[in-house]
Amino acid sequence: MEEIKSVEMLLEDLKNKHKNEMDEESLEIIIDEMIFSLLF
Amino acid sequence: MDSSIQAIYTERIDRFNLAFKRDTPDRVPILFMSEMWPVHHCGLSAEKVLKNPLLFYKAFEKTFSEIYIDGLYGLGNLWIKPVFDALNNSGSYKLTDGIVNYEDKISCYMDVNDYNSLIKNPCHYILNEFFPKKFKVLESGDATSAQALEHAYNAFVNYRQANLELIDKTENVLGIPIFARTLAFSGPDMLLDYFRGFEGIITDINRIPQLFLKASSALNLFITNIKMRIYNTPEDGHFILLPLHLGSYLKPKDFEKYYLPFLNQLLEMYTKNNYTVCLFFENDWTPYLEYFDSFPDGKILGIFEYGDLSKIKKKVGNKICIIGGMPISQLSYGTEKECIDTAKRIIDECAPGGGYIFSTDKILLSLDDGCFENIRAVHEFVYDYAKY
Repeated sequence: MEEIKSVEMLLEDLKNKHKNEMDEESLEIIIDEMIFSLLF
Repeated sequence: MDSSIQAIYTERIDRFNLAFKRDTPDRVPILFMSEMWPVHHCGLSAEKVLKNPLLFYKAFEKTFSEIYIDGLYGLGNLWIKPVFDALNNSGSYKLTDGIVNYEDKISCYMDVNDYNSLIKNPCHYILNEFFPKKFKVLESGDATSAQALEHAYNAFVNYRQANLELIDKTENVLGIPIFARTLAFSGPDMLLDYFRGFEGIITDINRIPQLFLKASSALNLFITNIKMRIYNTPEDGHFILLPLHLGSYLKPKDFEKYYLPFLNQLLEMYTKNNYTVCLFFENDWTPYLEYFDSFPDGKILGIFEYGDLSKIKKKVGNKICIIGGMPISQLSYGTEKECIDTAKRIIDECAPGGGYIFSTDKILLSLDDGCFENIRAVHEFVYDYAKY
């Protein structure tokens, strides 16, 4: 049965998936910026 | 950057920096505040530049070869639509040919019963409770949600890259500084704009003031921490743009209690950490000018939409650098002579003593917000006339 995840958990999965593309700090910044922009 | 462009860029940054410090530069800097105006001026549409950001740069290149400017306030939120499309946004975000709008009632998914959850942990609340309400595709938390989030992430990375490239080319090829490095909000404005809407927030202030105050405090810290992580190296010559919304809709007694403490807290946190803060005073702030005395010392700028800028400068010019003055209504409908007469009066009244930057009173969004010939003539006049 498929696990039901919170958005926080989905974002963690997303970070793990993209962690090799850039350093951790840059990835965290992009995710933070995206969260802020989605409030609009 | 080419050395001649570097020299022009540095000269412009230095000019603004002196004004930011309420000092006197060689002449009054000219700040251009626009979003899609240059795009429309060049006969392009938002749709076209959204698909091909290089065209956006081309619009800047053409427009600012015709109109003299010393710098741009920022870029606005121009390419964010694909991010919302990826999450099947249901209408809270609208793009009408490049102009960002959100519908107040539809956008605000926070219920009054959600206050305690938001106060307890704003990040947790936003991600796990607010977003699934706003973006239904995230509600199920399954593979479909994960895929939508992945698409949103990819769209955001593309948007961000396009923005960075536009900033880079505008600064390094055209030598035009773009000042806003990030956009921030106060806690009360976040509650108004994103979570509760105007009707909700006014009701909350009257019925559950303690929850409003606690939530504003939690959001103030949450957003400031995020912004200091995103823009972690404050630079001279660039600023955090802070639009102010709720304050001017409150009666002064309520303003003192429900708005001013949070604005002052933000200003203290940013200025203490050497950031330059540009406050965008939306609506008329004339009744609140006396409160500016409580602002901390630091590099604080203010763009004013309404009010007598000469009186504003006299009243608060010792606390903040004043930006604005040129009415876009006159740039749209006045004659060239009328516009230049107004610009001369503004310069004569506001420039003495420094700490003043010439700009429009509002952002030029669409082409109707300013006649090209008038803008060009006014900027040429200010360039020649406003020398110290």
